[in-house]
Amino acid sequence: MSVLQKLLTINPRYVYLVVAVAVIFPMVWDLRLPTVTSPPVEMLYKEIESLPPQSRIILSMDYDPSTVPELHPMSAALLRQCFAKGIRVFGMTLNIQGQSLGVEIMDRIAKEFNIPNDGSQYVFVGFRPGPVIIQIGEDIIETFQTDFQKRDLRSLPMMVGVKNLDQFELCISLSGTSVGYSWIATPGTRYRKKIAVGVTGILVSNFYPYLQSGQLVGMLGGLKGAAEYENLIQHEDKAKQGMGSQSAAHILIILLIIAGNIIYFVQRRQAESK
Amino acid sequence: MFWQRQFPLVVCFVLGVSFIIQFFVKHPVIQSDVINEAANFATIIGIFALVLGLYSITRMHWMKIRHRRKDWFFSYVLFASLLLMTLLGWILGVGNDTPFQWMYMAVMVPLSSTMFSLLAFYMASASFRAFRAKSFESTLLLLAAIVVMLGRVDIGPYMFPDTSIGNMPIWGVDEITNWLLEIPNTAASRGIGLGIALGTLATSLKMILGIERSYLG
Amino acid sequence: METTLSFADMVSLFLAAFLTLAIFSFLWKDNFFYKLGEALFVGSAVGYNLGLIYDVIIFPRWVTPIFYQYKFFYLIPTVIGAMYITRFSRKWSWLSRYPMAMLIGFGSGFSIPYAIQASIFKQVSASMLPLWSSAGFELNNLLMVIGVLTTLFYFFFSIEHNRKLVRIPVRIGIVFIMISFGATFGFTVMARFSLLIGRVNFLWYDWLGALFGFKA
Repeated sequence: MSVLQKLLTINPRYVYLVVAVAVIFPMVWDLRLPTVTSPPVEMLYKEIESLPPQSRIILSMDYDPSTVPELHPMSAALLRQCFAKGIRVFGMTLNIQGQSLGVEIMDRIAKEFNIPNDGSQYVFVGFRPGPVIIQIGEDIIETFQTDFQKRDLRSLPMMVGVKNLDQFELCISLSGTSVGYSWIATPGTRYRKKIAVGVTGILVSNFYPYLQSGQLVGMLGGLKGAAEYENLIQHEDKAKQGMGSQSAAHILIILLIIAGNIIYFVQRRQAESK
Repeated sequence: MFWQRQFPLVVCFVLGVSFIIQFFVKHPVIQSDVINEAANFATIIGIFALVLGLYSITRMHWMKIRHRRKDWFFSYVLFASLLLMTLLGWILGVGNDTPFQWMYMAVMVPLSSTMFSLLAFYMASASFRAFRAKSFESTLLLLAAIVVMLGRVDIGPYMFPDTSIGNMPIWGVDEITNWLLEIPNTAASRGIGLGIALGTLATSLKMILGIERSYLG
Repeated sequence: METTLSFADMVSLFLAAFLTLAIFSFLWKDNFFYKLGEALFVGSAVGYNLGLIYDVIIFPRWVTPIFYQYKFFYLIPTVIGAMYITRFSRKWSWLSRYPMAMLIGFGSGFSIPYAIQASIFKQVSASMLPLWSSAGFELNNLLMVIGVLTTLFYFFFSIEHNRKLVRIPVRIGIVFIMISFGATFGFTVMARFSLLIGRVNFLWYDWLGALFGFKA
């Protein structure tokens, strides 16, 4: 077997080891490079910046633990911006496993800003099954009735005067699935609410048509999107921490693709010349 | 026979057409109360599907234990963790500072996240062994992938920033990536999305009209 | 501000680290610890859903309407939903078609108008872009229109793609599709590595950081 053939059939564990080094080393070294903001992220940031204090927005954390590294930093960054501006956040989730994640992040970020859990600045209602996304457009109080701590929604200060989506300025869905389309289709189309999404990297390219058509007012895409948002709110956290490793990983993949193709073309030429 | 095969199709048709019509009826009772109650009805009906799923997983693992099939011991682990989580939630509650939440953060989150993170290693291995620029189309795909991979991390714009030759601006990798995503990618994604939407519409109409009956089993 | 971890938090940290490393051990080979983690994952996921079921589903959607709001007509969907269980009986399994037919009818009927509006009408109207504006010729708009049309053309299989007039738009469509797929692949790499980076971040900063006293 030639050297090239041996390289191609190398034990994959060596490749895994190289991947591990590429991810761990920049993290240990804390490699940080300047972050350039992309237009969809900037659009969402400006949209929230334009909201007056005491505005209400819906933040729907429609994700589960498998997408936490990408979407949890987005939740944190959005909550920090909203709490700093005095924007009131209605937290919910359309994913049953998002309930525990949502309550954790909302309480944690609220503590950073010394915001009490009394329903004045934020409310987390958790998960409700079924076509909730339709029902909140008609009567959000009837749909959820109580918050996560079983308090009557009507008794909470930020829910006074709230009946449905008309009292909310913006709906943001963070999801690793196609739930974002449902937000665009129902609250976005039927109730003409402004919609923004935060999605995992895999779905980013699919949502660009909705940005171009104006059906989305902004989009955060993957870990980079979260890092860009942290950069904009000037509070670097987990997303920015991970970008050094992300850079190294991408360079590694590019080099592996190039190396694999070089070996392939050299072998092909050798075979043809024989 | 009518009640077994035809009447379910009639039910599907009536409900399907009713809810298409409700979109055009702007009466507040239809738009609010009827939709709300219908949504709650759908939720209650859907809950019973969980029973089927639970039965399926329980039966599968019980048979594994009973017949001592390979790795039967782990079926006990599955049942133990299932019961523990269920009882913690039912007895001690599901709030933020409960044992249920503790188990979720200590067990479910790391397991779920790590399972999916293994894919990064397999992707690296596949990049080396399988991704070949064998044709014009695959070369184009790989080039677009490389540009996006460089443009969507911090090191890309750092290594290849926007620059200029004289008065002529030269786009850096970040600008090229933005353009790729906003124009060719949007165009193709829109075309594919339109195709999917039309296909979904056709399938939904076929189901409502009773032409597509596979969901009846 | 330094915060010391409680005993429960410490146990949680070490358990999470152990389970993370157990799953990663699969990269070496399939082993006892990986299988243990796998079984725990499936069991706790199902248990999590069951644990929440009364709190978030049964109480607000069934108990409250019937026993607190006296909406006894909610027994109708209860009976219909219970028909799902007849699936286990060979004689009565046909009854399970009713709840399925109702859910399909409701879901399809409700979503069709919104899908048409959001995914078809709005998207088509967004593709009708001016090729000329006050700024001059809009090349990007032209590319967008050509891209959408040729991509749709590519997926139209009722005409053979190797015919003379058809070949060129199909080839152009392929170019746009390959660029889109390449972009998707690039983002997929980012997504997969983000998950790995998240776990490594946890192991390095949260676990080893707590053990040896260093922070991000």
